[in-house]
Amino acid sequence: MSVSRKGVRFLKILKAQVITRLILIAVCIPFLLPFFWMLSTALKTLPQTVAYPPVLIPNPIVWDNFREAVLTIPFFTYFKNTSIYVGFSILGTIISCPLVAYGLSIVRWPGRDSLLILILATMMIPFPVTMIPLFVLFSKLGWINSYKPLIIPTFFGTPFFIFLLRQFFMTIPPSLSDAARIDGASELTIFTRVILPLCKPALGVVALFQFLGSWNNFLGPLIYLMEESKYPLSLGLQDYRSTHTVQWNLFMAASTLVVIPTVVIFFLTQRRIIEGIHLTGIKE
Amino acid sequence: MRRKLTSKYIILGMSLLMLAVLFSTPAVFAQKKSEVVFWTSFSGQPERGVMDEMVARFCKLHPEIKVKKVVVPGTETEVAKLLTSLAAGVGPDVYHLDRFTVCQRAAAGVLQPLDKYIKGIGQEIEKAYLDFAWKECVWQDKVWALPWDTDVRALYYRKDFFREAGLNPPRTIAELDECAEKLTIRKNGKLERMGFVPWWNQGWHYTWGWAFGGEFYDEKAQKITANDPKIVESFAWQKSYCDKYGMKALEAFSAAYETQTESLNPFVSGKVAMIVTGDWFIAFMKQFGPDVDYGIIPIPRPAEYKEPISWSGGWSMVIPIGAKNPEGAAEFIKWYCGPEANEIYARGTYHLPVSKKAFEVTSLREEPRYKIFLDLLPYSRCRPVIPVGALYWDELTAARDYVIHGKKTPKQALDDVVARVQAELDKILGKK
Amino acid sequence: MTPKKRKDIITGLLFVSPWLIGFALFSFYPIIASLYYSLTQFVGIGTPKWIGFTNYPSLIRDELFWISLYNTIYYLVFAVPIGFAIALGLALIMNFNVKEKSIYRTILYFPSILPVYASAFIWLWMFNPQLGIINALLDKLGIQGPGWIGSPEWSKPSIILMAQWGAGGSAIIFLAALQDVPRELYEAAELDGAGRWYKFRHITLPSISPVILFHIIMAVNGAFQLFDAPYIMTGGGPANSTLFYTLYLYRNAFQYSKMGYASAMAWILFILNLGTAIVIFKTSLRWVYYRGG
Repeated sequence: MSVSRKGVRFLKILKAQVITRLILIAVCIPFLLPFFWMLSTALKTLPQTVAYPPVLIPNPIVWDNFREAVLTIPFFTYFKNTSIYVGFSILGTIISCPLVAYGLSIVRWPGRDSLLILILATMMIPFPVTMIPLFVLFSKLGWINSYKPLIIPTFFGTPFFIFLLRQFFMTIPPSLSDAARIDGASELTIFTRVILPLCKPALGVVALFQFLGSWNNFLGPLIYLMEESKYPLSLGLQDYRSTHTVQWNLFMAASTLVVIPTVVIFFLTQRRIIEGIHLTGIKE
Repeated sequence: MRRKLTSKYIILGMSLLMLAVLFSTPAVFAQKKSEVVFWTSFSGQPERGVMDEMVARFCKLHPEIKVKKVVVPGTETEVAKLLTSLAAGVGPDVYHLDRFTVCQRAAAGVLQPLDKYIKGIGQEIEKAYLDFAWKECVWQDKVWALPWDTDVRALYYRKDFFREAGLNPPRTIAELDECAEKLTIRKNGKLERMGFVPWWNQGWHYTWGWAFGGEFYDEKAQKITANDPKIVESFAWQKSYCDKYGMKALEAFSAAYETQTESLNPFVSGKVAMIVTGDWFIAFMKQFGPDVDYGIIPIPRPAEYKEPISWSGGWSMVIPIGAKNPEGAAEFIKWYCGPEANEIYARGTYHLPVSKKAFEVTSLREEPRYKIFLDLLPYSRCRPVIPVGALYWDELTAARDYVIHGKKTPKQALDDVVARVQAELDKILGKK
Repeated sequence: MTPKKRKDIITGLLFVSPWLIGFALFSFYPIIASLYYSLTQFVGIGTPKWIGFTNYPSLIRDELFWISLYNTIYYLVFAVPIGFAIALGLALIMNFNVKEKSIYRTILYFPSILPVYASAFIWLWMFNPQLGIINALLDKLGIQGPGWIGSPEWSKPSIILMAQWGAGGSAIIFLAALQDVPRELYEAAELDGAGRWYKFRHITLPSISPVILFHIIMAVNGAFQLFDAPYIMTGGGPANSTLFYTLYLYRNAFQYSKMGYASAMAWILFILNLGTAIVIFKTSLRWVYYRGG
């Protein structure tokens, strides 16, 4: 290659690698602030959390806060409860929502779009006015003081995820499912063998969002659970609040511990799940 | 491919199995007969530990009653959890309720009157409690709660700043204004330190309305009197701080430091020289500002008023409707709100006792700083006991905001409050 | 009806049956109950008192109803487009092909997973007019930062701004959609000499338009039902500037023991929300491109 062409290539690489990185880093900084502040507070002594001017780097760095946070409250009981709740609700969502979404997208039948609107409509009633009748309903079923009111409904579909998956399914070229039908495949087979594998990114997103929703859910567990031993982390973290003060350092230490699994799961799975199968030769 | 299919069937099968299990074991939530279920939202220390102690002590004294304390955290407890549970008939026997809302919940039919369960009501029980606290527990000639603890408000001031400026602590509003001015420091046109900001912390609309001699409610006529000229005056006085120090500057300063509830407390960091707050602040200062030299005096009033004034909130114990064991509950709250329990709690948490006996002999009297609060209690008042208490509070807060930010005049803002709240009150009273 | 059509309807209904059963079991009764409550005077427990449609004209006469509606629509009008632009922008950035993209993605996604109480506290600290980072940075640029959450004029913009930190969540959804765009389309366009903007406008956007529709409808719904942020951070103030519709509804339902009144508010909101969604759906026929279905 001639010198000038090398130069042009070099500039292109420079642009691609350096400039994109600069943009990424610049945008990441404001998004990093919350985590940095959280971690910094988690490592402070209590007086330092309220010190002025605000202390950016704790001194001394109290790693012990993590140990204390975990020992002061029944952290592992709460953690276990949260994990069970979250695990089952993800299961329920992953099973039911794709099925319903399939019925609203790949199967063509009249009235399916109106049904979609109805499904969306059920999300639009604000929670305060349905909270009490819903609770009474669950109490008649005998589900109070358990996670059943929170888990079992996930096996029947959630409008948010149904809609999301429906939109993803609608991007799949109909030729695929039609071809399979011509080959005599049943709808269920098409669903499991053709459509689902193509939508791994969307399914990954659904699982992730359900995980988060359950993990951070406060109001649901608050009203349905009657015993402290059943509380999840979202309720348990309130143990650090007193009537007029909050033990911020322990609170943030515990919150960091609570947040870390989420971050780790995201980091590990985002590559695998979000990056779609780079479709090999799907012709329009 | 086949493997994938099998695994999908396995998942499907497992979940169906799990569903079958979940549905087949209806764990009906039931309460044991001799149990008294007690809900409280106190989730943090030291209150929680001390309350555990108190419950244990009661159970020792009354072995036939088993009290089960359940901590239900969050500020939504009262509304979300209590109401949903009561609607389904699975509520507690005893509930820890903010005393200010007792009247409102009673009017809504959430509570049971205690008259028939607690012996002594109508005779010695009411005399056992400080007046303002008992007032909040009574509505339409029935007793709905027993007072449990209380608080009271005063003016804290930085002795070091006062010494520096050669000032004496203020007794009147005029002196307060003067001290505030002398203690305010400006740098480059920005406010570095404020002598005083009237509406911070416990400098509420009620605080100043009463300090200025106004009345918020006419009990006999059942009329909301928020536009009492003295109250209007108190609002105008608060606004005068905005005019004097500049609304934008004060807005920024307020938003910067006032909202720092636990961290960056402005009194500790010296951003403000005086602040109106409550007795609980002593414990706070011990923990976060142990080296700060400060004093406590009654809230300043216009010169024509010689008596000090303050107001109190606090908690109470109630028996909600549908309680499975009201008799046991009554035994429990009678002790739990009694002098012995008051004293255990006061010693453990530094919260003020509300029963007269405990008030007279409490060990808190030996704590140097508490004397002034105990001396203020006889002069303290409670908020109007009306079924629209929460609405009234919210409206007054909005009105104060409108006035401070220059959106309405004090008279107009308070007239609007009267119109709205009176209408609601009439509706509720009218139907009874 | 042709046998094929009948078969299709049955198949469709079968697939959708989990939701239908769930609706009958869990949604139907609470929704009907709330409609009934809106026609009553009700404290939340006990027996409601029938008053017919009285709640609705009362709402119309209620000044706070209009204030809260205005606040919510203000938020909607600004937050939805801004949120969309930022989420899409973040997704495009997350899509950059650099080796350590996992790290960047995780960082950008992080704020959206914080529980509300934690993020509320952090935002309040960052937006503190005198101590926070935001105003400190503005100061360096020579701009006097406003009073943010403490000022009636800036409180809503503050909340809108704070909501953007959670854009990482929506960005992930867009990212998944971006990954799905077939590479051949880009390659074919490049062969024809298409530039970056052309590719974006004529390939990327149409390809992800179904997901854009999803985002917008969900964002509008979220804006109408905004509750956690004002509840935790501002309590509706200052001067009712952050009294959003659902917050006022909640207060009526629980603080003021006016469940009937709140239910009426709920149904008015429902009609507005659903109406907006239907309108968006109808217009979507023009700009959403489905390759399937």
